[in-house]
Amino acid sequence: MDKLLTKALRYKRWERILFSVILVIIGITGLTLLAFAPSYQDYVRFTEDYNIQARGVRISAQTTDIESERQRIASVDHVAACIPQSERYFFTSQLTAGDFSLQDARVTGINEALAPELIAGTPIEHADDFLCPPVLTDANGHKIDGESLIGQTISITVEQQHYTVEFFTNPDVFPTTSDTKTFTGRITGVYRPFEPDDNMLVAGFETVGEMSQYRQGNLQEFQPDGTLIVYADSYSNLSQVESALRSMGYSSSPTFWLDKTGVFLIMVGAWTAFVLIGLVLFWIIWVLLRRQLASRSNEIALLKATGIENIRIGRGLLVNLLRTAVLPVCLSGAFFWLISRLLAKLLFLGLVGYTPGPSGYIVFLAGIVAACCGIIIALLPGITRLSPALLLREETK
Amino acid sequence: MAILTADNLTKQYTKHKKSVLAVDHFTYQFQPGKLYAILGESGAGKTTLLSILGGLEKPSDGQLYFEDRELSGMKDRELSQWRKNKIGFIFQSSALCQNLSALENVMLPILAAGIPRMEARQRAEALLDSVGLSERADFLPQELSGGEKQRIAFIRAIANDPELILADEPTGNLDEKNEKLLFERLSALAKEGRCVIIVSHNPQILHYADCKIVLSSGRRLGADG
Repeated sequence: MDKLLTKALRYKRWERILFSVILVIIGITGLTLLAFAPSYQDYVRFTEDYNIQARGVRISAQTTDIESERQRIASVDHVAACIPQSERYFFTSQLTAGDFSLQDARVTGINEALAPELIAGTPIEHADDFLCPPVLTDANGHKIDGESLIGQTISITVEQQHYTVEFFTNPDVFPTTSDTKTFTGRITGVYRPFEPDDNMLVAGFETVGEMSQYRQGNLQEFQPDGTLIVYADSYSNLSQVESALRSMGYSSSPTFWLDKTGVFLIMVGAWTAFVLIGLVLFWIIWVLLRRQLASRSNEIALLKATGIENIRIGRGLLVNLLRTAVLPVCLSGAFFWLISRLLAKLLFLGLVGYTPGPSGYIVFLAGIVAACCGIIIALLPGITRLSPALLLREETK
Repeated sequence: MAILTADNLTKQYTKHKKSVLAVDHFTYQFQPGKLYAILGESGAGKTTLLSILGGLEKPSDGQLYFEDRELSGMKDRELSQWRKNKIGFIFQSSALCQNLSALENVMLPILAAGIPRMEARQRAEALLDSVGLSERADFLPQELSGGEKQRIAFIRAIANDPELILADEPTGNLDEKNEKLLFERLSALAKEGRCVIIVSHNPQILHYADCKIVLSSGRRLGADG
């Protein structure tokens, strides 16, 4: 019975083709954009975590004598420092050691956007990522005000990263945790660049340097490529530094192209696009469904007049919709995955240790799609409002 | 005992912000074994009345009884069940499912009544044979003539052996020969004990009707028989 019902309600061939084409287009463009909205957030979180915003220029030094290249580049105006890529994390701590000042136990100065040397984590328990600004908690999970720790010597357990190259994605390296080691340091200040509950604890840079180096584990084994990171003394001078490096014959590109304003605008733009695309997607599916309902109104009225229940008719329409959608959804899903991986690679190139790509969001997107389908199904009672008496009103057609 | 009893049926709806009284306090008892012709000018409320009698529309007021059971208070699901088992509809447009063959169109109400597929197929084939369309079983509606489509609509309406048959302008698209044939078949069904109610402009219906009901502006002007 249901098989015959589904056949009775089957869409016309041209409707099926149109619907499939629209779904593929939506799938590829829409899903890719949808996926990247949250990915931008990830990107921003990453750059903020490591505090390496747009202050650096990556160059390829075509020499084995890195040291002489570094000295040459260091003489360029507005260059604060030049380091091999592998030393970046360690350097970040060192660079900022003298650039900030502590006023009332808070960090101020031009380097607020850069990482001061910092020790963060959950020091009372353990610290599994001292570069992240967490909410400090004690062993019972209660929040601790970072300022109460100033002057105290605390112990922090650092987990060493073991880097491996992921096959197919060379040269990206991916860290896994290996050994742990406990460091002690005296807290000299608190830095709160983010939320009020965030506490980045400031300590002597030697401690942080050691911790950074330890944490890097075997990272240097993977960075023998002669790439240098050149840091400008401020974001506003970055393009000037980049131009100067180019004129010296280096191929250079900004390590990260977002400043805080840019990040904000991109986030607003991306999420606006996310919402708009979602609405357009829903609207298109809704219009198609309405159109198909209208084109099948005679059949629906006839089936209702025959005594077939609304729920069975609704199920027949839905089966037809899903059958039409299976191929385009699979196709667009495959293209979406490929394109998003490619875009992710291009956008997040150089973020060592960061696994790019929106694959983790597919589940999230599937949830959205499922929600849309749920709403559509919930709205199907439009069928109920379609009176079978329609067939008796020949003159109104 | 009346098979269908209409007690003060009223249907009022709003169109273009104006209240329209399509059926105005219609009271009547339809008996089994009779063929009723509902007549009246366009807009008299014939189709609306037929929709209410067939449970396709609900009255704004009044009661409708099938034998001793009140229909106006039934839920959609119960009404569907009732239509499935008790009523056969013949529509003016022949109304067939365009994606289904002649055989499948006839099988549909039989399957809907819960008959197993094989049995439904056999019954549909026999019905097609009874109207001389067994060779058209696999034809789609667009491959059939107007008369053939109406014959299929007719056998589909009687496929579940309903007690009540409702037809709205069933001869609208037919030539004289097919028209006569259809009226004869409907008349025969009435003689077998079914109640047949036909809305029609065709004066030929009067030769076959046992009772005539005339409507004007939703009101019953009179009835004979």
